[in-house]
Amino acid sequence: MVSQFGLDFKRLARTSTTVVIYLAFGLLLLTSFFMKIHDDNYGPGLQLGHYTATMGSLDKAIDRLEKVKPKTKQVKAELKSKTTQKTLIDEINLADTQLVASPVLSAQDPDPVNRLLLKLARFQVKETAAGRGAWLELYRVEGEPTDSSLLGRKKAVLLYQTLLKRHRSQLFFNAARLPAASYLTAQLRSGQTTLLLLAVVVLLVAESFTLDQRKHTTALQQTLPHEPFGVLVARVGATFVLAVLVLAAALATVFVIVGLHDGWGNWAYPLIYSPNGRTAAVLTLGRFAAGWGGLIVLAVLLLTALGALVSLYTAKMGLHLASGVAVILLAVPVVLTAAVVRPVVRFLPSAYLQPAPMLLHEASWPQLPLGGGLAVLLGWTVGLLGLGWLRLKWHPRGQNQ
Amino acid sequence: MLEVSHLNFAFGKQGLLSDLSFTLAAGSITGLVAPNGTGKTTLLRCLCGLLPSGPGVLHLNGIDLYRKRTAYLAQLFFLENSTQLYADLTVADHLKYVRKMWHSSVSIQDTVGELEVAGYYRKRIRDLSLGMKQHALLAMYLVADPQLLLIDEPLNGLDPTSIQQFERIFTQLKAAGKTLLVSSHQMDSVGRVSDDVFFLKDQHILAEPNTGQDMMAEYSRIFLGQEAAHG
Ligand SMILES: Nc1ncnc2c1ncn2[C@@H]1O[C@H](COP(=O)(O)OP(=O)(O)OP(=O)(O)O)[C@@H](O)[C@H]1O
Ligand SMILES: [Mg+2]
Repeated sequence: MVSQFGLDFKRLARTSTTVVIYLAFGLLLLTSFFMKIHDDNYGPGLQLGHYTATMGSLDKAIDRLEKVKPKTKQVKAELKSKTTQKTLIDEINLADTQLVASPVLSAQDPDPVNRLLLKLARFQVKETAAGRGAWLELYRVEGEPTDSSLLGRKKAVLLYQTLLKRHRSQLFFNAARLPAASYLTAQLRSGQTTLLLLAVVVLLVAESFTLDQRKHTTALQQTLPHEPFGVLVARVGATFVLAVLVLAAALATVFVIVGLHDGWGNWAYPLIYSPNGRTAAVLTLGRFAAGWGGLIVLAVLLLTALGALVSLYTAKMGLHLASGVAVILLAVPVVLTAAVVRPVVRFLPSAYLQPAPMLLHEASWPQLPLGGGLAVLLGWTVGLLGLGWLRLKWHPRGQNQ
Repeated sequence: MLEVSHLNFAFGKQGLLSDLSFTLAAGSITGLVAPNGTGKTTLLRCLCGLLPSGPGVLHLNGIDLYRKRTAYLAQLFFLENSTQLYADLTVADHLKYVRKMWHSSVSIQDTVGELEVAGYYRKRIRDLSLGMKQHALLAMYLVADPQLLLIDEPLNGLDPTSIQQFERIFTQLKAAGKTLLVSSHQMDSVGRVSDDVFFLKDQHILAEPNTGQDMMAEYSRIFLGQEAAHG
C-alpha cells in the first residue's frame, strides 16, 4: 500500500488545488496582518489609554464618595478601596508612560510596570475574595475579555508573576503590530480562522476523493489486486499527509513574513488559563502552538475519513463539500450552544474541531476533558472508516455499483 | 485458463452479451472483432469485474471472481485505453506503481528497452503523443506480468514499425504461456497473431480458429452479409 499512498500523494500534490489551498491558508492567516500593515497603533499605547481612563473614573468615584454625608462605615471602606486603587494605578500609569515613551526598545525594562501591575492584581484578588469585588474599578486589558470573577483576578496575578519572573512586557493579542509568534498565536486562537482553515482542508479532501471520477481514471483503481479498503486507506493517508504538509508550509510562510516585518517574538510568552475552573495555570505560546498542531491534525484526519466514506456513495464535488462544511458549521459556537444539540454536543466531533478552546479550557459549549475530546475525534474517525469498510465489503467496486 | 460460463450483460434494456460461454487457454492469443458499439469493450470490462456478471460465471485458473476478487484480479491486467493513464504522472511513475501493486518481478529497465520508451520514460503522460501513450500502456501490461492480458485496441495510433513491434511482443507473451484477449479493428493484424478469433455478433460469439483464412473476408461475410465479396 506504500505504492498506492505514493501514487495518490503525487497525483494530488500535482493538481492545482494544492497551490490553491496553500494560497488560501496563507491568505486566511495573513488577512489581519495586511489589513493593519499601515497601522502603527500598537498594544501598549492602547493599554496606556485604558489606565488613564480608569484613573478618571476612579477620580469621579472618589469625588462622589467624599461628598456623601454622613460617612457610614461602608462608605469609608469603599472610599479607602478606591483610593488605594487610585494610588496603584497612578503608579502603573506613570511607569507605563515611561516604558511606552522610551525611544530605545532595548533600554525598556518591563519589570517596574509588571511589579506594580502584580501589586494591583494581588490587591484585587484580596478584595474579590473578601466579597468587595464590586468596588473594584477593573481596567480593560487589550485583546482579553474582562473577567471580574475571583478566577479572573487569580489569572491576572499569575500572568504578572510570570512576566516579572521572565522580564517580559505584556503582549496584547489584538494589537496591530504583533511579532510573529504572538501573531500566529492570535490567529490560531481565533475560532473563526481555525474553522475557515478547516473549510479549506475540506476543499482538498473533496478534490482528492473526486479526482478519479473527474479525470475518468477510476478503472485502474477498481481492478487493483488489493482489498479496496486498503486502497481507500492509502488515499486517506495521502490526502491527510498532504493537507497537513501544506498547512504546515503555509504556517511557516506566515511566520516568516510576519517575522521579517514585525520581529519573531517569543514562544516562551505565557498564556494564562484555568485547567479546572478554580486555579490558574501557564501555557507558553510554544506549547499552545504545539498543542494546536496536534489537535488540528486530528481534525484534518476526521474530515479526510468523512471524505473517504462519502466517496463510496458519490463522486459529486458539491456533495463532498456540503458534507465537510456541514461538520464545520456544526462547530460554530452558536450552533454548539443551541439547546437542541446540548445533550449530545460533547460526543460530537464538531465540539473538538477548534483546538484553542480545548487547550485553554474556555469553550462556551459542553466539552469532555482533553483526553475525552481526543477519544471522540479519533472514535468518530475510526467509526467513519469502519462504515467505509462495511460498505466496501458489500460493494467492492465503490460507488455507483 | 479463463473459463466463462453463461455470461449475460445489458445496459438497461440494451442487451449486449447473451449467455456467452467460452474458455481461453494459457499460451494463446484470441482476437476479438466486431463493429463499433457492439460490445467488445463491454465484454472486456465484464471479464475483469468492472461490470457485474454474477457469481459462478468467471473463473481464472479456478478462482471465482465473485468469491475471491483480489486473487482473481491479481492474475489479470486491463486498462481500457491510454486516456485512463494519469496525465500528471510520468511513464516511470506508472510502471513502478504497477510493478509493486501486481507484485511483479519483471525488470522495468528491460521492458523500457524492449518497447523503446526510454526516450520519454521520465515524461509526463500529458506530454506524450497517442502512439507514445499506447507504448506506455503496453509497458504497464508487461510490467504487471499477469496471466491474463485483456487488451482493447492496442494498435490505435501506431506506426507500421510499432505495429510489428507490438505483434512480436504478443507472440512472445503467448510463448511465455500467457493468455491474451485482444480486441482490434485491424483484420490483417488479427490474422497474423491470433490463434482464434471471436466475432461478436447479435450478443453472441462466433469463434473461429485461425487457419490462415482471409480475416477481412470473414469479417465482411459475418457483419456485412457479403459472401467472400472482396477483391
Ligand atoms: N456506461 C454505459 N452506459 C450505457 N451504455 C453504454 C455504456 N458504455 C457503453 N454503452 C453502450 O454499449 C454498447 C457497446 O459499447 P462498447 O464500448 O462495448 O462497444 P465496442 O464494441 O467496444 O465499440 P468500439 O469498437 O467503438 O470500441 C454501445 O451501444 C454503447 O453505447
Ligand atoms: Mg471499445
